Amino acid sequence: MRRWLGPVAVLALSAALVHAMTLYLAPGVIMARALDVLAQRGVALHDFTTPRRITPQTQAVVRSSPDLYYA
Amino acid sequence: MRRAFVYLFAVAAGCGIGIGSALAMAGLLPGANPLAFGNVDVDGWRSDFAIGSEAADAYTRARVARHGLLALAKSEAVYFTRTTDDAGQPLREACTYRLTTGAMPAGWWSITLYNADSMLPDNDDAALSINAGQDMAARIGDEIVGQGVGATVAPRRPEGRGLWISSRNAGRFDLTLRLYMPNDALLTDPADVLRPPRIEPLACEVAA
Repeated sequence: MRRWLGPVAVLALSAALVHAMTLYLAPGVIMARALDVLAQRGVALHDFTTPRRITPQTQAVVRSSPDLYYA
Repeated sequence: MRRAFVYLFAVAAGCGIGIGSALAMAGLLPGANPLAFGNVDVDGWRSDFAIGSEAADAYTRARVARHGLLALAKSEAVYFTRTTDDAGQPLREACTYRLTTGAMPAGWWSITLYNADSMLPDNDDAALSINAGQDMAARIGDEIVGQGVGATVAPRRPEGRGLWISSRNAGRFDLTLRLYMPNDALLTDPADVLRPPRIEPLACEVAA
């Protein structure tokens, strides 16, 4: 039984570390993907822009509001 | 040698458990319920006032990145989402609903329909939301059903002059209420201050 303590501890430690790292990295990864999509559509990043009203065909990120004028 | 493989397997299994549990608990897996979170519930309309604040934990931040990227802090806007009608049934494209709402404790508001992927449904009806700028007698078709704002939520434009939110190509969907410049009282005691919109089911199409 004692010979499994080491592997079980390694498993638990690995799970905890990867769990925390996934949560830490997820927002940045998702945001980077959204910015890539915007860049591919020709939206100027870090610059003033006057995009047209959001439609289902032009949406690039989740839960865009069709009532707002994004700038 | 065998001992090394055991430890290698433990590391691999731990990584798998770590990633899977993080994705599941943060609502990042496909088909995750966007409402399986939040610290506010007013008649089924759920919200999380920690969004955009330092109080948001790692799970909230990851969830917002997936289901509400670029969401504002509560001093600027709060978001309430509902996935069921007043009868407790999931909102779906095959049904027609009567949406009615009155004055809101905020400077401006809107209600928008999103599909299960948190995206605007793929249609060209130009009728995916209503907002405070459309203030008028609550009207369903040509019938005035009360004060405030009323709209029909349906896959096809209803007859009459009433407002319409199109659910065409939405499948199962939710409605999100945005309240911009919310009153302080709402942030303090949402259950007492907010009179959330009603979503009354009218009819459902039966699949042939």
